[in-house]
Amino acid sequence: MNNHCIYAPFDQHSGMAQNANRVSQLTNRRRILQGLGALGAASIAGCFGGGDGGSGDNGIDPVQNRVTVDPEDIVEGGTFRTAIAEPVDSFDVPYSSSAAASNVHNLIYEGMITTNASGEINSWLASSYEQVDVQEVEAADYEDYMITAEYQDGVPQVDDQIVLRHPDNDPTSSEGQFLTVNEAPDAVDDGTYGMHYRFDLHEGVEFHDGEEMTADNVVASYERLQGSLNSGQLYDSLLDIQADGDYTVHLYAQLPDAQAIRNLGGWEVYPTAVTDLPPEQNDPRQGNTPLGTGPFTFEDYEDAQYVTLSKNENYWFDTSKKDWYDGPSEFPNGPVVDEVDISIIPDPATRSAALQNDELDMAYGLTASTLNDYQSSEDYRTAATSGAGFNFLQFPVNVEPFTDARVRRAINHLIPREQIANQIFSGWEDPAWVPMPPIASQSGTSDYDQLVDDLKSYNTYARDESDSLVQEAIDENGWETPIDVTIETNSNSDDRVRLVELIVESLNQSDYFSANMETYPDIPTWAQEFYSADYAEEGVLSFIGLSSGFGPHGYAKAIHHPDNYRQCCNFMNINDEDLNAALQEARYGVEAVEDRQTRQERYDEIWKMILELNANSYGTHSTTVGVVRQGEVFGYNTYPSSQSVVPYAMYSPADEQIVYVDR
Amino acid sequence: MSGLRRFVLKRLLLTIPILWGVSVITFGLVYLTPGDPIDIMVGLDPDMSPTREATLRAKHGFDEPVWKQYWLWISDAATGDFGEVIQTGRPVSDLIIDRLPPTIALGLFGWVFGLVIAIPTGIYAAVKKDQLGDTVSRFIALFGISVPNFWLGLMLILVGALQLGWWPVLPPRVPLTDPEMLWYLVLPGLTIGSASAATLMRIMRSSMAEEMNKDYVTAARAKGLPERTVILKHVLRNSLISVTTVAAFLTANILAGSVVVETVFSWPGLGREFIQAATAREVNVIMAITLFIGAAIIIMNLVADIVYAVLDPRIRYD
Repeated sequence: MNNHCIYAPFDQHSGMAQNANRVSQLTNRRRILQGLGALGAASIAGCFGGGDGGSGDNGIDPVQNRVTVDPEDIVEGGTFRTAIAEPVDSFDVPYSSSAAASNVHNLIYEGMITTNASGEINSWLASSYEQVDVQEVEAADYEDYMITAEYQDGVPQVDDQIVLRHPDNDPTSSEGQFLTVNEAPDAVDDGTYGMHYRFDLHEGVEFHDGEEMTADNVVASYERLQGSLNSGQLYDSLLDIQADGDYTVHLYAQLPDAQAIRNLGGWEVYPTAVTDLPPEQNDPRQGNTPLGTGPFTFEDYEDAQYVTLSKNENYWFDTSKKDWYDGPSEFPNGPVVDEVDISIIPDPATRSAALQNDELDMAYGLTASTLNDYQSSEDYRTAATSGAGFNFLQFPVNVEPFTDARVRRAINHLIPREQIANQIFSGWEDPAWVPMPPIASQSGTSDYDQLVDDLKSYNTYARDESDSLVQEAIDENGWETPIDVTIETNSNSDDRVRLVELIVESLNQSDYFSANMETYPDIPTWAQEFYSADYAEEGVLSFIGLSSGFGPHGYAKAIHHPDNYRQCCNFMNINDEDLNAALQEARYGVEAVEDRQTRQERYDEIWKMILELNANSYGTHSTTVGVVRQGEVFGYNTYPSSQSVVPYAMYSPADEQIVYVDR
Repeated sequence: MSGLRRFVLKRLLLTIPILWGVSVITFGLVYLTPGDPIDIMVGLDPDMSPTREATLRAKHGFDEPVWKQYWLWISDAATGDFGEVIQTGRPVSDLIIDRLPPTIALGLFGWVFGLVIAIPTGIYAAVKKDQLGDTVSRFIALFGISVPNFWLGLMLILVGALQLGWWPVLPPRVPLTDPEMLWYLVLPGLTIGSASAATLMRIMRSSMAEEMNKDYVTAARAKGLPERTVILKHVLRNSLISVTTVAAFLTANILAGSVVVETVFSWPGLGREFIQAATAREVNVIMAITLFIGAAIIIMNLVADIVYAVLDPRIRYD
């Protein structure tokens, strides 16, 4: 499990766009599915944790025009050839930060739970799991178990993995109080924890090296994250993990947390041969073969060129072992292709050319204009799925005149969202009428269509409304017009630059604004600015993309909460106490944790608060698109997150998803 | 010690301050570029704890003043230790060793292609000076110099791979020593070698044309030597002096071109690695590749000077 994301460029995670027909098809499907009462659980873990608890009710299928295969038609064997955009930075997942690499990881390694395309959580290596209890606990309640340690330059001098910091800690002081992994078991023993989950593991599951998986492997695998690059993603929620016999694992969360199950349950489980390795050594470049329980075994990796995997002939999975599986009994118990061959091709044009030259079976992360060509060709099928992200414009809310919500809303009403979706993305992306993409709607709203109906007026293009709002603000404050608006973005995304140009043009058509665009060559260069303390005071607006998960929380918190100031993605030090409190209650309130409807209602309120505040304006919701060769690749559908496009396509029985090739 | 040996030794010793200068300038430019690899890692992983960020920064010396960072780097580099790739922990020297052979193969192919095309075409153009053949070849040379590598590469992929289906788009998975590799080198080799070929052809043509107007050529013809012998035995050898010098200098162009060509063809060499390193602010990789390319250019220039002496006995190195 790897919760990366952040400002992915458009052509990386989001496909975009198709034509108007597809947009309307999506809307129709939503209506139909909501008629079924979509209460499904939620989230792939995005970088902000993105998910909520619960286990797989019916959910909205974000896959557009899903194709299925009849098990009787399946042809076994062959090689599925695809490409990722960057090298595998590490096969040692705790030390990997690459979303592209997750496509390789997720073929080799598996966790106790899995998530389907709708965000429903299903048990995987665990035969079952249950939420044992939830307790009203706060961080300060762990004070008795905390150790005292010094701060040096704001960094706590603690050798062991920190689980929790005392809420009263001040990093500018000389010392603070911390709960580490050493004391956390004592708190659990005394009954101090937020949530308790019990996982019962399947018996007889073998790793690729033949070792049988036990609870000790799970505990050791989780402990491998301590002190790692990705430790924060697990220890955002985890208090302690304990083995109970050979096949039972108890997980304890620090606080009541509606998305704890997603943060806790899906981490990769390794055999002893891996957990005994020093950090960063689970990698073929270090002479070690990556080992897991997954449907594919590692074969070969040529750095920066390709990785090959072959079918795990001893794969443990059996649909009959899963009570959540309700598909045909003939559905295979694992992938049917013999080999997965993944080339590493950074340039989308080269990936596209390789697809056309029959060197790849599937390519994703292509540009919108390329996708149009494929869509109009009978030789290819474009498989689009509503993505886990949006692009947005953030206002310098602490600099006049952007301190006034009316000015921000006036600008918001001049953003031509439909024009952006149609002209920039050729219809592949949808206008962002609400601050949450549809795939997060299961826990993020009680009714997505109703939400759009209720809130769309905030985001429609309305010149008169804009003029009226800004005139009112000017009259009251005596500001001069035109108001200078400088929008910054990264120039290495053509689509993004064109989009901002469109917004600038629209603003300049108003007498009240004088807009211009400034660019940085790439996100990392720009990041030095927008992560700096001064950025919020510079008075510029930033246009960037956010990628999260199935859960609603990340979409709201990441770009509004003070915890995210100088991190991704509250660049402007937005701090609205009412919104902060509402967000806290929606995720960490015991009522919201225990009752999905309460949570949905709380988020319905939050979206409205966010649009009233208008500290951010939203452009379009993303789409992930994969293109396959028609008549050679069968059953392909695209996962909403680019982290798992390949593994999902290969085998995901919860969605009866399987790919076979027949050349 | 002979003059040539002294000259070579002197030039080799001169490479030290030159490479030092290159390292200072490159390090300074990298330092002036906003961000470092740790910033990139934090940018990509918002969950990274401040503790880990501080630990990584201290581990790689990014918390030190710039002069000390440079001193630490140059001290290690002087002993052959170019550090590690910060985001993966892999030794940079291993990376260079992995990426170097594909770049050498590509560069060599492009260089040989340049010579093979340029010399006969240049001879032909000089012999047919101001005739149609000369005009056509000069036009083609102008095109070769003007056309950007990335565009030519994409066009060659479009035609050679997608239209004709003769070549793959993706890089081959055969060892560099496999004869089949020669076929796979054609498209990227043509792309990287085209500008060199065009430049060399123009040099060859003008050099030949100049030589052909000299008295010794008239004398040779007066003696009744066949025109073929005059051209190939007398004129060509003297014309090759300037071509050889330029050919060595063009190594720099080829190495610089590899950055673009390797990216277009997904060729797993130093050029593509350099782009990735620059994006990720991998200072150790950037420094190592820059120094390596700098050293290669200096050595090739030295080789050019030596070959120059061999071709023209009148040249003495004192």
